[in-house]
Amino acid sequence: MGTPDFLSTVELPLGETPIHEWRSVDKQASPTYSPLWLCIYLPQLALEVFNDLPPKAIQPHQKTGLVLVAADGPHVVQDEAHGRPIIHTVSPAAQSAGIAPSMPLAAAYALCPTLEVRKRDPNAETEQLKRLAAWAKQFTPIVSLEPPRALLLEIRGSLRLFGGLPRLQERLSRGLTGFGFCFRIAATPTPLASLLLARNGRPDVIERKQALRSALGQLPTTGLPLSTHLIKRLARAGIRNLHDLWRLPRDGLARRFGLELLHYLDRVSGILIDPRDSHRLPPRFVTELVLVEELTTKAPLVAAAQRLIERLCRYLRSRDMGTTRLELELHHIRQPATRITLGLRRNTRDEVHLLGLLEEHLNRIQLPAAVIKLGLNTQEMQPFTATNQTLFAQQRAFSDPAQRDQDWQCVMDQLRARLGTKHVRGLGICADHRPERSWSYERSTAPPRPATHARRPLWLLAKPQALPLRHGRPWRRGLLLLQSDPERIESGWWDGQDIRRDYYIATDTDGSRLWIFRDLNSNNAWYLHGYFG
Amino acid sequence: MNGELEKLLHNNPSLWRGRDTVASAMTGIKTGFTQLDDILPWGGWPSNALVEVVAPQWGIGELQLLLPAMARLSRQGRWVIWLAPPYLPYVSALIQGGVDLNRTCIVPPENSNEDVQWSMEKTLRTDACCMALAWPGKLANHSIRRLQLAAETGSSLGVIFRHTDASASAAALRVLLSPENGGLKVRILKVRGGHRRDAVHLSL
Repeated sequence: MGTPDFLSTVELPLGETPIHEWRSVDKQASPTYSPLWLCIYLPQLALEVFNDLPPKAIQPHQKTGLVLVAADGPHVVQDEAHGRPIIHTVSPAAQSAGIAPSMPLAAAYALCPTLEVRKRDPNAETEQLKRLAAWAKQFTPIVSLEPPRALLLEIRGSLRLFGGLPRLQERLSRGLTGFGFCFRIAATPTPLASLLLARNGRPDVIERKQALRSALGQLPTTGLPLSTHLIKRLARAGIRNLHDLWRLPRDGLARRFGLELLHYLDRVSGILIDPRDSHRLPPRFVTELVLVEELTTKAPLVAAAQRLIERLCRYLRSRDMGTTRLELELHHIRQPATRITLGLRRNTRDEVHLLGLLEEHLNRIQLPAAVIKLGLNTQEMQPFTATNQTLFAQQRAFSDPAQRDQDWQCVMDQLRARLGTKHVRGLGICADHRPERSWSYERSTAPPRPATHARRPLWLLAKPQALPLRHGRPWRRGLLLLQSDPERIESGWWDGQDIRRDYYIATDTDGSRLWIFRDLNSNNAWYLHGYFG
Repeated sequence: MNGELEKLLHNNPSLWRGRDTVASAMTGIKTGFTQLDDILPWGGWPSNALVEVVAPQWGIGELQLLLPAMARLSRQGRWVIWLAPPYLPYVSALIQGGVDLNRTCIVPPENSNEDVQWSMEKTLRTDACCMALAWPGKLANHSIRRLQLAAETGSSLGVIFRHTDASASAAALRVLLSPENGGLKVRILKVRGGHRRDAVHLSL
């Protein structure tokens, strides 16, 4: 057992590996703890982030049990390389039609005319990886993201809790299948080796570092994350798999192909340590207050909520953060808790403001039962930027636009809390000639220019009102008198709501000035559309 | 004799001439109509008070009366808010009038009267708001007094529109609008600091 044995393929079961073997191989590894890195590789992640794919068929896999096959039917995800669209991920059905990654899109369409193409969404992929990382935290605290489509878990410390590696693998598989992912799991003592195995279709478990070289030896150089140029150079030198690479002398390898390649190989085989950062979840603040007696009136509830808010603001101040979203829970006996969510426009940690908004909400809700416990939690916290206050507060705040905007946002928050978010809107203009579509409740970003120089009424009716006819002329409270020449508006043929109208300014007998039109699409009927207020 | 009488009348500060209006410390917001500016004591709309506009129906020019002042105020970087308007304010016409839409907010009229009054009081009280227009429905006198106080605190102009005229009101300025000859007749019912009951005819 004294000499290292790189060519042996015998794998000892876990827990029986003598430690002195490793000491002779690598002097940098810690003698007491040998990590075991498990890699979850998701080959179809770019396709699975889209929610509208047809459901998957389940195909049994011999080693890991059940595994899902990605969506039926030929689906591909397209990406851009050098300005041209190429294929990034293919579903198995598309693969059977002959489409492979890095193929140009036109060639793929030629092979399979009924192809369904989606554009790649890297943000969605990263978000999905982060969510998976949060889920995988239940197995181990050290979870590292390996974008674009892999996760690395360090599980040596968790094996005892989960009852051994096969049981842990089975739990992982069940969870990932439940989410609907196609995956491959491989576990080795180094992260890069696990990644290589998983990526190249070998869901193996290797427990000894010495066995790594022999296990990985048959991997072709095309499976390594090297540039195509380097792979071609290696192929020209007759190096086609890792075995050949490892047989070469180290200094010659470094001189001909670069020190980076040598370091990469050392990290794969475990000679160099490859430390990984663990993914950190966003901070979350949870606090609760158990009440001494049940409360049914609002005033003591507000006082209790004030204590919780003070705790929250102390926490935020100590971390220099502000929050944009809070949730207050009122727990009742034998009933589900009442939840109040508070959304804020600006990042804030002002107790008075938060308490005012909560008070508004509390005044509006009906309590189904007495409250025995209050809970407050927030998850959305961002770094806080404070604005300078003026020393003499009674001076007018006109001169400080930032302070003014902040005050206005506070007032808007209070109005939204009382009236509801949908009842406080802005006004914006849209580029459309049809009057009922030329406005919206959202602010427009572009500087507005009126579409026309003709006079427009200040009041617009939400729906044009039909006007009856008397003696062939439109009538409202009396016969309407047309004051202007007709203005023809014809627009909207592209979405099926085309209008052909002649607009007039008319006066009524009671003195009001109206904006009416004759609809040429519906038999010259007259309608009222606005008032010149 | 006449000259001495004039001197006595003009130079004596303890003599109050009934036809003089009180020169106000606050400056007014120009209305955009010179005849109206002339008869108002502030030289325009008051910059921190409540104005009550009584009109028999909407659509006779009540918004056009306020449009130049609204345009000027929204350009100053403060906000204009519309509370429960009876119809939609048409954005093309607002832009033609020169109002900055990025400083405009609207609260559609699905809320109760108390909510509208409460919102108006809250917005008038802040410095950030320069003008609040409201169509509140029934308003009790004490509510009007509260709105007037809020407008004074926040240096904002509050305008409430009504159909009927209630004789006792705490607003600083009350005007009655009626359509006349293709224009608008503005009659001042009450103005704080004066007792003139003038009327002007504006062509819109």
